[in-house]
Amino acid sequence: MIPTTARTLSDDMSKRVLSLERLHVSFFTDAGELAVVRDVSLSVSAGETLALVGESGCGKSVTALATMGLLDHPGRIVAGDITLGDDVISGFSEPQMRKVRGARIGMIFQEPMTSLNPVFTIGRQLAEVLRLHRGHDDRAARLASLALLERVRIPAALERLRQYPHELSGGMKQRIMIAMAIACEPQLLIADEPTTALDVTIQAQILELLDELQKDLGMAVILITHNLGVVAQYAQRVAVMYAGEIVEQAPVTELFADPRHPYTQALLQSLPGTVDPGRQLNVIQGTVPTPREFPAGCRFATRCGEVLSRCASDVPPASRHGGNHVFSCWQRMESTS
Amino acid sequence: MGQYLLRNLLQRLVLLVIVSFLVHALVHLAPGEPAEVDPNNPRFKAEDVAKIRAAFHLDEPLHVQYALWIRDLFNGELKSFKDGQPVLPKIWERFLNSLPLFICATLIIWTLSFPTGIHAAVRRGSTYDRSTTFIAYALISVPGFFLSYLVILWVVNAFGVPVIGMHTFGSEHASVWFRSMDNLWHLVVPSLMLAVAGVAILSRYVRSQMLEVIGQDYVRTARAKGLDADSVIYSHALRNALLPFVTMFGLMLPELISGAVIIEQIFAWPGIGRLSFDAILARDYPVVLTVTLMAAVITLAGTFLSDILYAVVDPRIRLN
Repeated sequence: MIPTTARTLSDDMSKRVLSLERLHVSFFTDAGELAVVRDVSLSVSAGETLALVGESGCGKSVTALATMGLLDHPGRIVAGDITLGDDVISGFSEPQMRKVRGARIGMIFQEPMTSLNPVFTIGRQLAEVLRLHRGHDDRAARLASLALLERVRIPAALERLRQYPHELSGGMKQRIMIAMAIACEPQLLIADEPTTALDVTIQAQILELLDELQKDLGMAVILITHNLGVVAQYAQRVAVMYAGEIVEQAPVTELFADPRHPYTQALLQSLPGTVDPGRQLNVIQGTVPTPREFPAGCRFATRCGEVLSRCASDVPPASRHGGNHVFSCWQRMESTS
Repeated sequence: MGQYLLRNLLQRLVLLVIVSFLVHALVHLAPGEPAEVDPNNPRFKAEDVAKIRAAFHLDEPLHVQYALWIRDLFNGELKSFKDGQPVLPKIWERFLNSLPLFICATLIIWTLSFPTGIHAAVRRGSTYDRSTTFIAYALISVPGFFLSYLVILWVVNAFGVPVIGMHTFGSEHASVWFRSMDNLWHLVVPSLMLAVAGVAILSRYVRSQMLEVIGQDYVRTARAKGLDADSVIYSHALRNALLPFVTMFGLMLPELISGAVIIEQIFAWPGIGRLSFDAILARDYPVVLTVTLMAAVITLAGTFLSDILYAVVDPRIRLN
């Protein structure tokens, strides 16, 4: 058993773009502090895609927003460091963070239909980022916007610049969002369920586009999703989150071939392909507890099929399985060691 | 678009005709009539009443009276029952008196409500938000006439300036400076009182509208771009939050006219509100009817303007 943090995980420290180290995020409500993200460590390198998976409400988006410095009151980072390149951005002031957002970290969201401002033209919304971070004048911003639209494969780009979001389809809007996010060639792109709201055919196109842009720009990508099929196809590494914690982190092939944590195993078991057609699908009983009901020890203890007596009270430490495979589980740790 | 506007105007015209029927019927159905304004007057004999009724065509059937009203209105020969003066010039003159009041009140309402409401929304839950909420509800709850009297007392005692009427009686020969200051003082207090309820209500609307917009995904997108808080709030959020207020702006003038009925009475301001109030007391049908009809015209014109403005400010709306 080796206590592990992100620092020991990455293969190539020099290429590392982002690392979260022991990040804790809490919401301070009238009812007290809710620890929605606990002890999250992860890192992602240039050109690499890290998939962040887990059920709804497990803290994926909060982790992403914390990275962007966009946590809304009453949410706050209570401990841990966020390092982007050589800068510890978790210590940045708001004006410093503004120079990071949109310039060094781009972010795209789940709902392209509502993520663009309905009263401004596409051209204006694109130009805004370029004017802000690149200091472009109107003409330069316009030319750069055109190039961006072509880059995200939007036909009739010149006409699109004059259009409003409601005149475009969902897939088209998501392309615009991507164009805005990569406008300043960020080191890191956070894609928060970028295809959940789109048709299946459009989903594939958008993911292909992201993949291609990543290769061109050499960005690090954090892909938040709950689609394990997407993970298998586009990510190199996976971090599985449950109830605000990363329970297991491994290279994709390894995670699918040899999942260690009971939650990861249950997730993979619940994929439709695991049972014969006509049979009932496997499910994980119960639901993710609300932050108020999180167990003191392992947060999966209330739904785990292999729970031990200490699980409910003691937090399982991260243990290593092979080179890059880390998980946190008392049961598995004891069976391996 | 031209076709849409034409159709819209025609619909409004039809609506106006219906409103004129209703207004006429309502005024005549209401208890009390011109011939009985002063029934206790011993010099008022039955034949006098009959004479008055005949003179004002009050014995004719309702539809005939309606036709007479409309005919005289369009001929410009409609005369007040009370003093025989032509109605339209009379209303116009009073309306011009009220206009400075309306303009000041509108300016006060819109320039105060927006900063107050936006600030409260941005700092939701703060002391500022709580206190403006409290003040707004207090101002909505306290009757306007009561508050007006308190303010009159305070202004007169604290500053020693008269605030009743449009200007101080007998000040015509005073210096220009004195008269301007005098007019200003006479204008400021009633304008404020006319605006109070508007500010309280509108700032609440602005706050809730802003709160809703601030929670939208596109505001998060704007922040994720690295824009500063002012650009996010005043450009991305406010522009969207403003949309519903286009409708309210069109209804502003009719609301002010109804508010002016009370405020002009309190401040003895010879405006259109006071004219209608006096006309109601005197059962001066031609004036009451015409003022009400004009209010309907202004309301319809205001909403027409709102419809057009909407299409201008919201790209999702097209007039067709």
